[in-house]
Amino acid sequence: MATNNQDAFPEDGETGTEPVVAAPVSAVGATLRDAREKMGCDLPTAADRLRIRQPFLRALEEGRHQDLPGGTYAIGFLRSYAEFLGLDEEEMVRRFKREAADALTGRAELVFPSPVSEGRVPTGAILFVGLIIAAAAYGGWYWLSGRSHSVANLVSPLPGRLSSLLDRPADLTGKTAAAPSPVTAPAVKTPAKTAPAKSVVVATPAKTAPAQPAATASKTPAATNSAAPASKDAAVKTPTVTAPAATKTPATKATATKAAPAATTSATPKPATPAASVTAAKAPAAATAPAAGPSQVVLTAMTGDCWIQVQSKDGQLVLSRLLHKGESYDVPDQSGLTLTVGDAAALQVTVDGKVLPALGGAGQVLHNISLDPKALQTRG
Amino acid sequence: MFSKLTGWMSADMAIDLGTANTLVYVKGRGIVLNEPSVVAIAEERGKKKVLAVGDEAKLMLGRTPGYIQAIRPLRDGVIADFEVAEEMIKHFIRKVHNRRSFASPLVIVCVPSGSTAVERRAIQESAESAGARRVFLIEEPMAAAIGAGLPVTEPTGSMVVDIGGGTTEVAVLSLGGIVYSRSVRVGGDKMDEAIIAYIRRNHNLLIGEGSAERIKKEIGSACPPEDGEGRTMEIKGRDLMNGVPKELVVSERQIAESLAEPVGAIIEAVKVALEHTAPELAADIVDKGIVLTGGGALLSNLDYVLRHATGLPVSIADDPLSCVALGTGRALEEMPKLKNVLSSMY
Repeated sequence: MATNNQDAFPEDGETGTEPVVAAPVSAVGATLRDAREKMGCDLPTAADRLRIRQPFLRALEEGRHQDLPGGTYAIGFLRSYAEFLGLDEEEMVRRFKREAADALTGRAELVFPSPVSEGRVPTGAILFVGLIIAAAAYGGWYWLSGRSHSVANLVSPLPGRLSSLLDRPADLTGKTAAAPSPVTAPAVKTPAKTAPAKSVVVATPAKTAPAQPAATASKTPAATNSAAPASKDAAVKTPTVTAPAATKTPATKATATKAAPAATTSATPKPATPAASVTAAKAPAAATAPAAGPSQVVLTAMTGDCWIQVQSKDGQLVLSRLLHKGESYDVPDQSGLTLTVGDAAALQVTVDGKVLPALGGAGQVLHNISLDPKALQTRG
Repeated sequence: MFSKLTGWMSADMAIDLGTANTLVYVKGRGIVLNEPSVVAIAEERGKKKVLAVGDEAKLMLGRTPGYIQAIRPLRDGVIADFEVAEEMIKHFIRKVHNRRSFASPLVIVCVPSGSTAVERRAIQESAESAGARRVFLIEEPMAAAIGAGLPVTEPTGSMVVDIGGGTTEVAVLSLGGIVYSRSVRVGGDKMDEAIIAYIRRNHNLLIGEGSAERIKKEIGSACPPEDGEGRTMEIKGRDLMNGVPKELVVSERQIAESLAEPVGAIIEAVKVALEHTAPELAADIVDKGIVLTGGGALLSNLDYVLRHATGLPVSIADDPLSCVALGTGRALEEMPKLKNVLSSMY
């Protein structure tokens, strides 16, 4: 069985590769059959010698490529058979490959058996879609909330005991009043300074905060009450100069302002004398001051928490916050401010210390209320 | 993520680290390197340096002066000399991966199915220290079967016999896995040794490994010719009796006689594997037979001998020498699909 390919090659030439190639059925198969018949060997003998099953050899001879096992095996069988018949193996394999290109799909597709997925764990695609939905939802929420959320004055007003340290009255008076105001400014300050000292003497219950309003309040009603008939215009304006000092101090306890008139009526006799001297000293100054001081509007949450929003003329948000019960907000001196209030009954509006009637009923929401002092007063 | 990025830039490769030859398959380019697994090391002032690797080193084998050593770092399919093997892999990777070592490649190396965990780890570590980014191992019979184009993933048994330089792997595969495998440390090297021993015993002539290999390739046969002496060949060596170089003629029959023992061992391994094959798989194998791969498949008449010993059809794969490299390369190309034939020691 020691075959030599070199010896086999001429034989292959004898069988005539060229004419057989033209045969329509199967050139390789015909060559194989011719060679076998020439050898005088029948199919069972060949199958027995090669240990290749007869049906496979017959399929090879008849060119039924689909009946042969996969590519590698078919070529292996052909090679063995060609060697057995003394044909040129490589040449036969080459021709067979060309002929059976459709049956031999080059490389067997390798598909590994994989376990059926349990279906509980979300697959990557589901996770990905979920992420996209979450991102879209967040983006939408962000966009919607971002529209109404502009810069607002969220800084709560300065507590009175701190603001008293500021030289605000001087500034204000300096701004509002002309030449004589510097004269009034120290005049305003002096009672503020002296007031605590006095309050100790008078023994007003609380320490500084109530004492000052008491002092100022006592001063203002004194001025309003006593000087009202005389010079009403001046009297109305004088406190407005002092008001910043006063309102800042009662800001902490708005009730003080309310209580103030009551207190003044009783307290006037005693502390009024020093206060009166101050007001008296100041009254001329106030009287001399031009009547240019702006009205002071104070919003106070009286009966409960109340949400307010203040907008300027051009729609800019000045403030949007919840006033807690007892808190008050000094409306800045600007024209054209409008107010939106969440609970009209809970909000008390004070103009120059004068309490205006409630803007509306309990729980009523009011929009675009002008915060101009005059408009408020006429509304009341 | 970064390693993925560098993966695009590096040439991932599959290495058939064989006892006799090392083949390197580069992704998208096919087999780009096929050289003998031989390293020549020169010793200069006590420091070892690589002098040559591959073909060049093979020429030096058995012809070296004292300060040069030509080493085959693999024996019986596994690493025998760790450092030299590492140098060799490094050299091959550098030779193939010419992109100035910017990104290190992913490497798949095949290992004999019968190798121990220690031997596998040695192969993996030497590939890693040779500059691989990631190393995967694939069992040789699986690579050989994939490379030969056998339908390994189908529910039908396929039997592959891979006769390499150091080992012969006999395996039955089905459904993408190895059902049974047997590895015997008999291969081309053992055949060479058998030829050397035979000629020394019968002719008192000592020949080198290279000459023995040449004899095996030219007139080696698994069974003696039916009549006469068959082909003959002149061999040269050193006479053991009087110590002078001598030339004599050996015949195919003599060499077939000398190869009887290693061939017998291979046949025995195949028979044992068949004995251990489940009946359903055995039925498949009866139909389709055994496929021979590896350099040993080129030994003439080996298929004939196996056919008669087993009674099964035996076919030789196309290009048996590169089956393992092609199979490993295919595992590299279709990595996501063929992931479960790959393994890693850690």
